[in-house]
Amino acid sequence: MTHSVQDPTSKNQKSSAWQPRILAFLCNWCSYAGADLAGVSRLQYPPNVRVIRVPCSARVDPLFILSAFRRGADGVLVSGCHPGDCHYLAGNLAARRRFALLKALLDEAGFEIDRLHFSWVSAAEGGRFAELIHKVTEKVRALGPAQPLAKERRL
Amino acid sequence: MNELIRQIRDTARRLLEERQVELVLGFEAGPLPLRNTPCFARSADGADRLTWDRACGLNLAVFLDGPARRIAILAKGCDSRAIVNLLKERRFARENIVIVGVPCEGMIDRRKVERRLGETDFDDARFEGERLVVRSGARTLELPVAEVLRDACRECAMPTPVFYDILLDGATARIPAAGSEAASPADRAERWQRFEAEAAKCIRCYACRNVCPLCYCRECCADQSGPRWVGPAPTPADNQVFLLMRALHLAGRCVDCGACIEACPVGVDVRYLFKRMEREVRERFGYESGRALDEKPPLAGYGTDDPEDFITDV
Repeated sequence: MTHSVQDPTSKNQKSSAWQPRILAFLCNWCSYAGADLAGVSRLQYPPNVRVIRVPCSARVDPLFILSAFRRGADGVLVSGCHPGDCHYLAGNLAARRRFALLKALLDEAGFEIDRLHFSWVSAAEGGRFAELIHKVTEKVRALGPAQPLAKERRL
Repeated sequence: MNELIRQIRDTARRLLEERQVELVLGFEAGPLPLRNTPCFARSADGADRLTWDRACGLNLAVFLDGPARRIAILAKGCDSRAIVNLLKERRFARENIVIVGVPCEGMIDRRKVERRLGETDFDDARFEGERLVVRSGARTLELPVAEVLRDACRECAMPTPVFYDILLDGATARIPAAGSEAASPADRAERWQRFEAEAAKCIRCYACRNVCPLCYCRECCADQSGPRWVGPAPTPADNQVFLLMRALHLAGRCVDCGACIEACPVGVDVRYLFKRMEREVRERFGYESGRALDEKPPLAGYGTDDPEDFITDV
């Protein structure tokens, strides 16, 4: 039978093995370019991250993050330029204030805050990007599928 | 009629007669005991309806967006802080409002009275000094006011208005009880259970949003339909996202007046989330909501040396 030739890990096993789905908001000027550099440098990192490119980390409304969890994301990462390197001078500093409050709020509500990560990755830091994805994926994987806040699973 | 009410009526009458204002915002006796209702006094006669006691818990700053050009408002400590925030957000011109500061002794939490009485309806209630006397049918209950104050009022650090044009002195502001903030459970799962239980009660009537002087967005993110961020039905996830977003949108703006908690028909109490935001804003950005008109709101700007303890490093 031709079917027996198929990879035994496909189909059944694949659907039972849970993989975290992580949404990454990357700023156009630094972190997205950092991810690109990780790619052209052929660096390996887990394939669990779905990237959304945003003009600046300040473009990320906390509502986007809560909405991602509501729609079934297991983890969210927001990454922008290092403080002082923002293409728009201070976008990342404005974003930093919002993210600090969001993380504190989710902590107070008892949400697993290791599902939510904020970081700075420059366009030259392909290696750092790959490491960051390793770290975030491991943290989210350790927590298992997200239940709190999740209404549907669309990602 | 006590001295404070006399002062309030005299002041209101004078402002209206001298045409300094078109409208005085205050309270009048409501149809039910312990439910004073907003009073919009437009004439000297209207000024005589004004009253004041410890059941004036609504934040009157919520009405400052009305059509009248010159408005006088009776403001407790929390109302005055809300006015400061609204002025910072340029909701109206400073010269269009006259703030009549009323030193506040703390407002009562009607739910606490109901709980002590074991009934939600009562025939009569009156304040006798530091005691509240409630009558329901043949039963009469005497309660120390301190035991039925709102949590927000018990912990209030600024009961006397900090920002006003006229300050009445009929009442002596109560000295706030120090350090009564209840700590959140140290265990994360317990904290989630608490939040989940509060959110589960919500019926999404938006009473909290309606009574909040600082919740004034023309279109709330909970109402937007393209994209639909938060579903309109009271499902657990939608309620949670709504309550979290409200706490976040009021971070550094909430004046802890307790009006939203009082207005909630099902008793959702997520004041602790707002308190956490208040603490974070104070500790991280050195800012206190409603304290001074010349301080820049923390989320309207940025700091170059804000703490980065929450950043994931590799």
